[in-house]
Amino acid sequence: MALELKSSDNKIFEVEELVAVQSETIKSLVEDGCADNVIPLPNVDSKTLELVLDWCKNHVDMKLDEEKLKEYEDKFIEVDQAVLYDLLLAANYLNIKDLLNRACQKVADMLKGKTPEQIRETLNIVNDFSPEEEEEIRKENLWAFEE
Amino acid sequence: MEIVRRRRAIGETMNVSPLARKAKNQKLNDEQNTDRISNLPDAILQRILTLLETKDAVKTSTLSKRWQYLWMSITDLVFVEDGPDKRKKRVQFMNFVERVLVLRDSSDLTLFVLSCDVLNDASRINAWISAAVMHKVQVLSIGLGSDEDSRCNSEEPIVLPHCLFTSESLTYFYLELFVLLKVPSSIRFSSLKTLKIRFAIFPDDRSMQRLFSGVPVLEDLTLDACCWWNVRSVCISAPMLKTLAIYETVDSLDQDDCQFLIFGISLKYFYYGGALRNEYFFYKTSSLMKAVIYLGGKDSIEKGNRQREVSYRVHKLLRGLSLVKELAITPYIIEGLSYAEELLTHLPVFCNLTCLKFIGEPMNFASGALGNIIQKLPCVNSLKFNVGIFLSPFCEEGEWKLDPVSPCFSTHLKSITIREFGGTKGELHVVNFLLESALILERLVISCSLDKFSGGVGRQKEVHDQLMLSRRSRTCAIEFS
Repeated sequence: MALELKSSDNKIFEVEELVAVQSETIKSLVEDGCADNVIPLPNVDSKTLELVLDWCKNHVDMKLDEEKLKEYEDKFIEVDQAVLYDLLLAANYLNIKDLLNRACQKVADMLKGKTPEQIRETLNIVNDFSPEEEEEIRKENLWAFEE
Repeated sequence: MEIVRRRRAIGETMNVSPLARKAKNQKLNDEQNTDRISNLPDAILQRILTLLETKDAVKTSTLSKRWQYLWMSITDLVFVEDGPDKRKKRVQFMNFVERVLVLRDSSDLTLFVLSCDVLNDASRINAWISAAVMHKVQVLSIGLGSDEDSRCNSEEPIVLPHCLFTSESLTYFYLELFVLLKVPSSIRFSSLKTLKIRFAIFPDDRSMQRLFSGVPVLEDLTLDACCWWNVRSVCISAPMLKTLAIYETVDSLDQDDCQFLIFGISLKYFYYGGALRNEYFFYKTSSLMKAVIYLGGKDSIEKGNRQREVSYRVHKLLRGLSLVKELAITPYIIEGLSYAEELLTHLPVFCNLTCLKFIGEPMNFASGALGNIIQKLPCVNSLKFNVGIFLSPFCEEGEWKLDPVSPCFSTHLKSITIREFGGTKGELHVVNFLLESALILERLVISCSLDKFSGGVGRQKEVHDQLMLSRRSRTCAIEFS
């Protein structure tokens, strides 16, 4: 059975139900009988939706081959930050647990072992603390900042 | 803010002028340099922070004001006190853990790991564990060490909080404790599926009874290197217990002599390692699939003159496991069986056993009891010798044989695997005997030991060809590598 999904920029994607219900959000729509017409997804653009559907399709196809799936996932998540955040938001909105976890893990890997300065650099975070405020937080959590 | 930028960019493309196009490109670059991560919703950022080590998660509090308090809702907290100068950093560590727990919001905890020395902070640590339990923690791992010195100084031993023992949320509990485990009068771990206890000293029979009666849905129990000196008997009868692992310390000469009564109604897997300083009785083990018995400590058994006692205990243990389908044992079990020869005629029949594996050491085929035990395995279809075989040098090589040959050799034995093969005369004699006696053998797999097998590929082929000639079962394939 095929479902029709509409992205925020009005592109229609036809997908097999089995693929689409990897999204818990879409799954509940199907179960409630609301999926007969086109399902609008105003929070996901077509570029991201295409990627997300590729993820879902591959998870159905490679379900039994753990090694192959891991290889696919590692390659899939090698995207630049902008795309990564779009995927995160889409996975959150569509409630696709494994994609959300993988994307979060990717961001966590970007943060691991870095000093706050390095993290700010990588993620373009603006430091809005005064030097005194920052020093105070450091002192309060001394054990975390040691070594 | 982003939408505004995008609108401006679109507006600018309407103009064809190169200046406008340059300005548009600039705006797109700015977008790539914007801090998009901070605009993600709290829940996603907390998910990301949960994937970091607690230290790293707390460090993000200095990134910017947006991040200052995000870490306080992460669901996993891991505090491990280690490193060469952990004494020097002790105060900082204690303050850090305290601060995180005090400032944490009221959302539930999923995982709490604490590994540190107790020293003089028993009551503080007790409070931390209580806090985790109050936050409905599901996975709890507590490792509390003590200084060698402080154990002699008879400091107040750590007492775990009572609320821990009635936690409704706990599903996994790992406890490493070098002191007496005081167990309260009321115990009910209503959701606990996995329990692993290491090094603890158990106080008495009644405590153990309370503990093992208070785990109604327990599926996996591990008791590792615990001290049973104060316990005379313990009954493990958790109705849903699938996996049970008991490891004794092998080196110490202390006697524990505790009797374990194990009702294995749902038991599928049993793992044991030790020198049988305790006794093990099994009841209702019809669902048992696999047992791994690692009998070791030969030196301490001989030093303590415990041979006959061990032999009786091995017999009792094997009797309890006689319904198992797959069994892996150390060769020392065979030796242990023969310490009390009068028992050899009373070995149980393993009527469901299809696979027998020898692990840990090479199997000495000259062991007297080997023939006795193989006689009791009517349905074995697979024999594996994971660390190789040998024929004791005291034995007259040309004369050794298994007499009488077990019935399974004619009716069931289909596969034999021998690893760490050294190609010695004794080993070849054994392999030839097996090939000649196993009438329906389908597969013999031999993998040579890199150290012990001499002669390389040429010799391998020679041995392979010679073995092919010894086969009683003409369809048997021999894989030699």
